[in-house]
Amino acid sequence: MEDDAHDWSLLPLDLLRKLGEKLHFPHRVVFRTVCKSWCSALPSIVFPYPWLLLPAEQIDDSCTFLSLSSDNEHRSSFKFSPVPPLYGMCYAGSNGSWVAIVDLAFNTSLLNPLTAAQIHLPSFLPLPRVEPLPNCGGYLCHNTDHSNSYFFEFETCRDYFIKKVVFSSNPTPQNHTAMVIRHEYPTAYTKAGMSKWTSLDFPVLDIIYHDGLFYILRCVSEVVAFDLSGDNPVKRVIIDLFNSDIELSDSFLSRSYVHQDKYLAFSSTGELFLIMRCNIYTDDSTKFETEGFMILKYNCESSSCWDEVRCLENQSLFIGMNNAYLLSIEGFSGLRANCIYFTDTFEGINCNIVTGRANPDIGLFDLEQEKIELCCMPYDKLLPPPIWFLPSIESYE
Amino acid sequence: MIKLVSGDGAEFEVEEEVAFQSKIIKDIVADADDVIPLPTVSSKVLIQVIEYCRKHAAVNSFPLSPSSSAAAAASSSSSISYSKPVSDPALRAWDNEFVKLNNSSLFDIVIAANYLDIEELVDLVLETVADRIKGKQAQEIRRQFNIENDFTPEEEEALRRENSWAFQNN
Repeated sequence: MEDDAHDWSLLPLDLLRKLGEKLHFPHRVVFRTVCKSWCSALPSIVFPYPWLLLPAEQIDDSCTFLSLSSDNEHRSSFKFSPVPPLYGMCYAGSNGSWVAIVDLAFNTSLLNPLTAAQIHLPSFLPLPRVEPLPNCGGYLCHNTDHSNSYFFEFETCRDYFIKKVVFSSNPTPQNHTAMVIRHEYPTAYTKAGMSKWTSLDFPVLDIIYHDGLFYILRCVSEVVAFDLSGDNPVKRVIIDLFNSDIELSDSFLSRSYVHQDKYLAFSSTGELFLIMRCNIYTDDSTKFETEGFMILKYNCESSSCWDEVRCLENQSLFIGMNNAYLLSIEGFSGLRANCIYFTDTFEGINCNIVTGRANPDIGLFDLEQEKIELCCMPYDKLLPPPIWFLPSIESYE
Repeated sequence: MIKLVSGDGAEFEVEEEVAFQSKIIKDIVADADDVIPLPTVSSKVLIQVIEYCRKHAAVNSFPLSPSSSAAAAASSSSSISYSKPVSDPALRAWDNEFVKLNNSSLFDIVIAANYLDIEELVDLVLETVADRIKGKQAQEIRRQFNIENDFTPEEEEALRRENSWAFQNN
């Protein structure tokens, strides 16, 4: 050690923060244990903790996370790098610390932003009836009988056709499976070693991956499980449409909703939930806005299969484009129990791509107070929706 | 020409485009005379900062054509290369040589670069320091960066417990 060596704990805080943000997460944790000033330069990192991964606003090698807190003042966003360029990408799905990203040319991959590991999935192109016009910056889409054609910009077209990508936990290049829900096109699946997506022939409302299986919500309340581990998909009916019945609560029925999103979610103890999100048009009729929720829990002993749930106790739900989950939030300071945390989905913004994204429909629904609180986002540009991201210990193994 | 005066009174005459790598100097020169006192910067550090600015001013005055930088951006998105978009490999190599300094010198340079608002140089130094931190344990980092552990054993233990997973996998 030199005599005149500088004490790096005295580096100004803004430089310390920039320094810390250049490190990967495991190294950031060590960084915070060096001394008090280094510790104060970076926000506390609690794992696993749900963050919002925000859309990239500029072309660089970083991504921005938002850590939600119960009050807007302590809500902190922080950058993380290096990651592959995310500008122009949309987040079509997430499971743990992995995110499905889709670029404007429909190229798709799974990315772990914390380790920069990336797994390429087959492209969604070619799509029947969709003709790329690269010189015009978009696609020409023909309707089913080819009687009419419409021109859509790359981004509009992608966000319209790709509704959600659902994939297996802790994917590796040698071992992963994924399913895609598409508008106007059948749901399809792919897995490690396959060079394309294979279509399944039935309508799908939502899909969730849980414990080795894809659970598919078909019309209304019917759930089937798909096992994609073998050479051919194996289907098992979990809840039959004809045996299940959903009794909509009065408060839910009285709302004049115009659109409903449905989500499946599992709790950590393996209970299956069905969440209905009802949307209404905003006053100026430019986009959907979340109005309320209804939660149902699968009960095989009940005659209708589904029981309404009015309290989540110490847990909260996280829904959006992600593999939805119900999380016990004990120990996570800043998060509230008995809430539904929700983000925009492409479906919600599709009704008006121009104005729809200007006011993100992102926030939480407090089940006890039956009240929605919208979150302020640190951006107000037209960008794809952010996505829930649950960094977990597994991602470093 | 612009005259820069270090804290220890040494004078350095540099071309405008070299001095203007610093946004602060650029702003000052716009409405003052061309002698800039930099009382917090020693001559030793100022020489190094000027060396960096001279190199970057020379390279930046011949920017890549838009088409070739677009091609560079396209190729970097397909391969897995996440380095900052310094488009010129020769400049990148020069930068790497430039920062082969001990931590104490880097400290002085980053403070000066921050004060003079030379964003690229701040970034370059911090990038280098981050590389020296990666993968090391806290005790080793403290030794290399001359930091005293000011946590109580209880505080340190609490931090470690909070993130016990991170220590298992390093």
